Amino acid sequence: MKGVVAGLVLMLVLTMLPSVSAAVESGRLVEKDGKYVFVESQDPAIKLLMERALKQGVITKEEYERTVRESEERAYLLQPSFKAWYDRGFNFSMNDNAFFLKIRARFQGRMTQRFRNEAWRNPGDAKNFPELLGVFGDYRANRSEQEATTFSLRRLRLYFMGHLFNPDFKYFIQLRGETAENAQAPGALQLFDWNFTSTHVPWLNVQLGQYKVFFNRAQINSTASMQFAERAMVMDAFTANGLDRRDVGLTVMNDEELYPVNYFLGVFGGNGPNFNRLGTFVSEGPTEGTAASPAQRNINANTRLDVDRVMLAGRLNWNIMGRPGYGEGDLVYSETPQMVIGGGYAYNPAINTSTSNGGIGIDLANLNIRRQLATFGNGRQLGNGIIDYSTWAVDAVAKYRGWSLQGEYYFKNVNRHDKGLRLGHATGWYAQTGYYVIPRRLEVAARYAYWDPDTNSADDLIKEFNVAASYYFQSTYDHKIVLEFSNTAMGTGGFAEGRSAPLPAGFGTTPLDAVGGTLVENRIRIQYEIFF
Amino acid sequence: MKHATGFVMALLILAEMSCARLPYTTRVIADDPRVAVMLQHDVEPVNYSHPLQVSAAGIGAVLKGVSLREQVSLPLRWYAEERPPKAVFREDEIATLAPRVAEALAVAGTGERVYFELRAPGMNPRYDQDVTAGWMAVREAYLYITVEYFHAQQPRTRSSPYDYNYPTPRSAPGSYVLYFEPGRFWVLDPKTNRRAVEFRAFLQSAPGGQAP
Repeated sequence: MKGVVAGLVLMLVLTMLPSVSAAVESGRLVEKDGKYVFVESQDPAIKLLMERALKQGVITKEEYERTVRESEERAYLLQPSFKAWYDRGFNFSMNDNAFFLKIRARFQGRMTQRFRNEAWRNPGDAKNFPELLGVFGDYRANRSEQEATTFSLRRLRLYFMGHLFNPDFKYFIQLRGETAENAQAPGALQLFDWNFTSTHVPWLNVQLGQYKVFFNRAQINSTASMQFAERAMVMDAFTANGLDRRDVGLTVMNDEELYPVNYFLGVFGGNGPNFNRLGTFVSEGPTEGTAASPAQRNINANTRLDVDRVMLAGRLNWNIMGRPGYGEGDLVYSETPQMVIGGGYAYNPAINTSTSNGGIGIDLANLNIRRQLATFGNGRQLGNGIIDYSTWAVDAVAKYRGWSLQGEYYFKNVNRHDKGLRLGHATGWYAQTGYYVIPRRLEVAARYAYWDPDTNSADDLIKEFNVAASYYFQSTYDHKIVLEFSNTAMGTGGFAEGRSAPLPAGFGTTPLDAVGGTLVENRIRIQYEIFF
Repeated sequence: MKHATGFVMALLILAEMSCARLPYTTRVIADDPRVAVMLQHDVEPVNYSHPLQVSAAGIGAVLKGVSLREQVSLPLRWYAEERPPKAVFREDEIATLAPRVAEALAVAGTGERVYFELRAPGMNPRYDQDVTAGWMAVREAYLYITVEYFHAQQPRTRSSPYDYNYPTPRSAPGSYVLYFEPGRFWVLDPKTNRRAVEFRAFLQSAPGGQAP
């Protein structure tokens, strides 16, 4: 915790450093009919008359200089103190560049056609992406018939970004208004990111607030700069905190534009976005009942344990050749070979996946934490008591003349405080490659992803194969259309608490995975995106 | 395993296909905050007449006569206001650019073109720049000139300084209709069917008659 305090103090000090201010000139560079011209602040005719008057001795040198100075001051005061323009968003800036605001919006509209096998009818997916029902989050298997056609607004984002005081103190705000593809209720506007970054010291940039943890390459990358319509499932499963790609905290790092080797060291709450550790608890079981008063779950206590713990995350990145960056594919058509390797480690202790009473229906662990686990595909970890996550990721990227290759390997130590439970660790990897058939315009890409969500279980592997063709209308990531075909095979084997036999007492004898099988889905997505 | 094998095969095929399909830089003549001039290998098989000795004054005279009009795409073109062409280069830009282009033409090979880029502070001066860029090349009596960006706001950094790690590649080159004054020297090269300045004739027609 001392590190957190020291970081905050350092950031405050950095923001108070005086900025270099430019001297006021007697004119300014203005854009006129597409050209930049230097315009004197004094009318040229008056200037000529003044100079002649000085030369002829009609006015003294002091009078001339005073009048010029006053004229400049007047002209400076009369000019607008701000400018506004459009360039990759609406931009507003004060003339001295002490304040800058860029407003952007992003739209991703998608049509998905799914073809699923019979196993989706029964057993369906009760383990990796289970649905949690009602206020108590009872487990439900996700089952469906074989075909589905859906239209969705996959991503709707609103951005406010810029700098305050000077260009080295930046802010970034992102709101989202989308609805997830399988959501059971319409989405609402939600805060996604809100952070401040100090770049006063190039080797010690400081970011504070809510943002994506610098850990896993696939998550650091924006969903606007992907080669496919969606991330692979394995990418989402191995986030730093094990819950979500975002968290609240502080990161120190160096400037990636300047240094070939980049470090990121962060400390976070570890409980995902818009949330903190005091919201989690260990809930007492139902009050013991009597014949006159049956067991009830609402007269008991929630106890906060391990609330002094924080998540630590670090990442190291080495640009061996060039600067490939995080955007997928070689959109810029790199003239020289680009290569980077990187890796990250994150330790997130004491995540409560269920109460000690562990079973379905009476599981009163915080529903937000449980839903995050289920949303990112870590549903097998639900019901396993308190868990310490220790996650590793290594990645590599190569790009050259429109061709790209990217891969990442993950391993997650799932350390259960209750050693009696059966859950194992998790591992996975993916590799993807792409090629611009028409440089900077049309790319074809393929990806294979492999994920073992529980190393102690058999028949639980998740394999995903995607091919995609993307057309970039303006040779940037901002405007494109993606056509993607995917095949996923998800094993339903292995044990999941409260869903596999043996079930907790009083919850029947037929588990959700009584009928085994592999869930197969073939999927076509057409996605249009515009970022303006 | 079937998937994995297919994936590796696709990878190898794509790697094989990774040959140059856009011009690439072969030599940097100048690169500073104001101007960049570099030689680019042209992927189109045009046999240029480089290396070539042309005076900076001669290049400057040619640049001074170039003007452009932004080409608006259909159907907006039907409704676009007709605007007079704008001169592409200012005097100070010509003074900066011409000597470097002349230097580049003197060392360029037959398959190379001269790429130029004029830079100025952008609207957000720390992170944007105002860019006018294009390329020039000479084939026999014809001097080709193309403008790709005309006072376009382009990012200075590879990724957004605010939306961290979001890549900010340059936008695609703009589409411009070029003109040259006097118009009688703006001709069609019969071999390549491209517009070019008949620069030798133009320079000789100038008062005093400059040699190229």
